[in-house]
Amino acid sequence: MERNLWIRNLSIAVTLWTTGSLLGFGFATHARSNEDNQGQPIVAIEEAREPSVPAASVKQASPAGKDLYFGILGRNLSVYAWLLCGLVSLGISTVVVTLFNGIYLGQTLGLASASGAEARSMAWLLLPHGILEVSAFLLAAAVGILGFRLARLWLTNPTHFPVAVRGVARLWPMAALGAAALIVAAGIETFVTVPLAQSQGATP
Amino acid sequence: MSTRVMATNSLRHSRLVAIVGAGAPWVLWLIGLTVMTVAATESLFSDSPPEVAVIATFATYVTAATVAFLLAGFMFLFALSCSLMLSWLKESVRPTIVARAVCLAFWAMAANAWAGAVFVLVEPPPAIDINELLAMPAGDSAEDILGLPWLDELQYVSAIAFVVACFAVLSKHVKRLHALLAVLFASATVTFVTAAIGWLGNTRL
Repeated sequence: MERNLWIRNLSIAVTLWTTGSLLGFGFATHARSNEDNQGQPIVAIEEAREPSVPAASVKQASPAGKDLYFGILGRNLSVYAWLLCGLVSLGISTVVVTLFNGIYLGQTLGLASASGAEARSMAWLLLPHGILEVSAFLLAAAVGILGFRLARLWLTNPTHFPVAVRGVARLWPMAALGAAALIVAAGIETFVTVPLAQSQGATP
Repeated sequence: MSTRVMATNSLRHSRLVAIVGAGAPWVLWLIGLTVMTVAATESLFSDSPPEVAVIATFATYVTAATVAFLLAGFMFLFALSCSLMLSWLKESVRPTIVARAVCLAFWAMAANAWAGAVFVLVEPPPAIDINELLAMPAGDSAEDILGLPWLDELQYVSAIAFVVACFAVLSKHVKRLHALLAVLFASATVTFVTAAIGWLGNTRL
């Protein structure tokens, strides 16, 4: 993929993700401020947790680190696969999943910050694994967005379609790198973030 | 008016008709799905405190929109798989014909969405307690979570109707056996991809 196309696709992915995060954050803080006005607690806030940690795993986090690791890894790899599926779904799955992920993260951050969580402790809970995780997701999104281009080529110029598909197939090392980043990120999340969250008395 | 201008206008008109014809089921499906989602969500969280209902409603809308757009995206995978199988079978069919067949067969999905909307409006799902919802196991189906006992059956019927309609449209352009093989291959591909990703997300590898 040419450099300009990478930059363009990455920019689209970052924009979608940021828009989603802002939407989710804005909505959560707005809902929380309404709740403050009415003086009733939001049950869902107590259930808010870091998006990529499966609920069932959190409940039994300490005794089974391996289970938690594979739970997180499975969930993240499925999101990664949905993002890459944009290649065969007109880019729609990429756009939707990127936006959805952003909204979910923004909502969780919004609810946590509205509940009084400190920005510094939230950063400690998200950044160690988040940098690798989000980079991998954005990379997959940049590849998945190519689906729209492929679809247009398939409909308008079918003879050149196989050539374009071979070009995309050459991106496999990049996709493998993203998956490897997720494997490392799941390890960091399990063995750094979760113990850190437990020591702070928060449920990630 | 010259013959050339008339021919151009006629071509434009037929293209417009084709675009509208192919796009109509998608628009109707989206409207039907919106009606169904709004009606179901309003009923589901009717007993929840307003501040809980706001967040739950938002989350439900986001999830419903995600699932809907993923379905739309996977229609492209279906068309692509059909086209791939047809090219393996040495059928020289243009991709636009396959895409059009999928778009026309999408009437089945539009009918599904509207049937769902009517069912929800006639018999709204029972209100759900948010704590009950949060306590539900991750593997529970949408039918169990939403309390809509007909949801799975309706989806199966519409999926079968979609595949049959796609076969019917495709068989006008290619051999019947080839059309059948193409839609079966496409159905298997879409089922495999969605099931594989779902399995990856729900199991611990």
